[in-house]
Amino acid sequence: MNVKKILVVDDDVDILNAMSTILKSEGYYVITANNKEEGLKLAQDTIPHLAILDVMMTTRYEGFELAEDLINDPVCKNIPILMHTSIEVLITNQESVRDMAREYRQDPKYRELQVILLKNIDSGNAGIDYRTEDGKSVWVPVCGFLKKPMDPKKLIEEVNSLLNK
Amino acid sequence: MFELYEQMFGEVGTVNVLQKTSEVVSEILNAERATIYITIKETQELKSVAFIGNVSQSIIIPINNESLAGYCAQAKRSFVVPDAYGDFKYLDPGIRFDKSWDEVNEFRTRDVICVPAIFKGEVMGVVQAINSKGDPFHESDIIPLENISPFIAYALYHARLYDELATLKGLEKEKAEFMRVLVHELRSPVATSRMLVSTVLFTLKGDSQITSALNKVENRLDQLLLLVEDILHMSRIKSGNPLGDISIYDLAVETSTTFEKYIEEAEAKGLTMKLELPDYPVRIRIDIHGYRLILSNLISNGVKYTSSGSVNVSLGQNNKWAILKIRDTGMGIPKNDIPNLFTEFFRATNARNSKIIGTGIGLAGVKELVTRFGGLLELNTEENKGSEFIVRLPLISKQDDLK
Repeated sequence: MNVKKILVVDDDVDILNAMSTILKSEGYYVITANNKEEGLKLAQDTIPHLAILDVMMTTRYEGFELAEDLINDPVCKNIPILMHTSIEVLITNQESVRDMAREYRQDPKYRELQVILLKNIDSGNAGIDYRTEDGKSVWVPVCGFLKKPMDPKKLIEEVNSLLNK
Repeated sequence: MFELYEQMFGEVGTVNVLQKTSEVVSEILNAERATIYITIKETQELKSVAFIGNVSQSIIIPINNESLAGYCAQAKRSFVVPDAYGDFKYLDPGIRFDKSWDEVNEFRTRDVICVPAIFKGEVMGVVQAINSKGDPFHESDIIPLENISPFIAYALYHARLYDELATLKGLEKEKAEFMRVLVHELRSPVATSRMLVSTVLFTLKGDSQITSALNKVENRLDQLLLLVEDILHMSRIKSGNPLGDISIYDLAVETSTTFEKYIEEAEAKGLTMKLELPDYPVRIRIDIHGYRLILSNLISNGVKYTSSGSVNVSLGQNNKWAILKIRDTGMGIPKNDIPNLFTEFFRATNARNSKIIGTGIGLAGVKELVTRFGGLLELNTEENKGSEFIVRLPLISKQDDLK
């Protein structure tokens, strides 16, 4: 049987250990990294079947930046990404989550939001729109979100559905 | 709110208003210098900012007869003094001219005119002009100055309001930011602990004594997380900022969407959920996220505190109000607890004694929001029989509808 590799990136060792334990018990091969650089290097070297990324590490949006780097990397661009975050996810049924994010951005009520997480309830399409330090708005498509505090059953559910499609 | 004020009136803080009005006054009187003072009620002082070239100089004098402007504010009386260094005891036996400003600025004041700026009977400030040479002021100058002084008073009143608003806005932002950071710092270790406990529970199969203890730890941590998140919500409500989009909404649509979120949970408990909606739209102007919070708090309470029977939600309207009712067949609320029910952190005695997790923040938030939307909150309840919450929210008037 072909064992699936999962990369978990988090600066909290407790979280890495917990996730590894759970995913290993489900028969996955788990590799871990503590920051963006390490994560990117590991991803390029091993090309995992899935990457689970924490958002706030040394810098505020390090996880988002890593996701961006992966998407823009010729070798890693097809690795599905799960964002591990405690930020509230906005659910939409609009076809294009990116258009929806743009709509939110134009709404003055949401002007002060630094990060918008969006997920289409039907298609499962998801993405992040976040504002960088210099005020630029960046769009990062991802495969889904994992809500903190991580629940073992939900983690397995989410990972299985992404990898056994 | 503050942005709206700025949009309407521009940046009208004290300093700006003092500068602009003093320019106008010195032009009207053809005076060498004009100074507008604003009253500081708390300390019974007059404050002004003098502009000499690009340098601004702050002046504070007490309201008493130790200076001409102070006397003017105290006596609420207009006057001209032809010679500031001469004798003007005819005005008031104790009155004095304060020479300190002259000394500091190497100015020799000759004649002075003072008029109080009064708004709604309150001395908002003093209009004062001085000359060292040229045409002196006359008694006849008092009339035109008294004619414009009410406008100046009104501008000063606004300036004070503006400054208060600006300070409040600053404080509110600071507080909100503090709460945000605090809640985040609190949340993150609790969330990690919760995750670790559930991981241990997940991998540990067997020892029932340990698992049962860990299950309890897990429940307590959930309780703590819920509390932290509720506080976050409440601090958002308290900040007075809109929570979502304020616009005209059809409550029938909103009610149905929120209602559906609780069906699964209720059915898992064996409860019947019923929704009655009118066949016409119920349109009101509202902060939609606020409405969702009201509704979800009341429905989730209904589901939470009802062990058997039903939770019914209905929406209707009369000629003035949109009327939302949430009725359950749950544990009800003891009579003695009703007066405190909408107080933050208060939980009814029977709810506290039950095993149901709660924080006592939800209903306080509901009450706060309903009041803010100009609505009414009503409660009918009987212990062990159930509760009915009735929320009335003002419908939009025909005029609003045309907008």
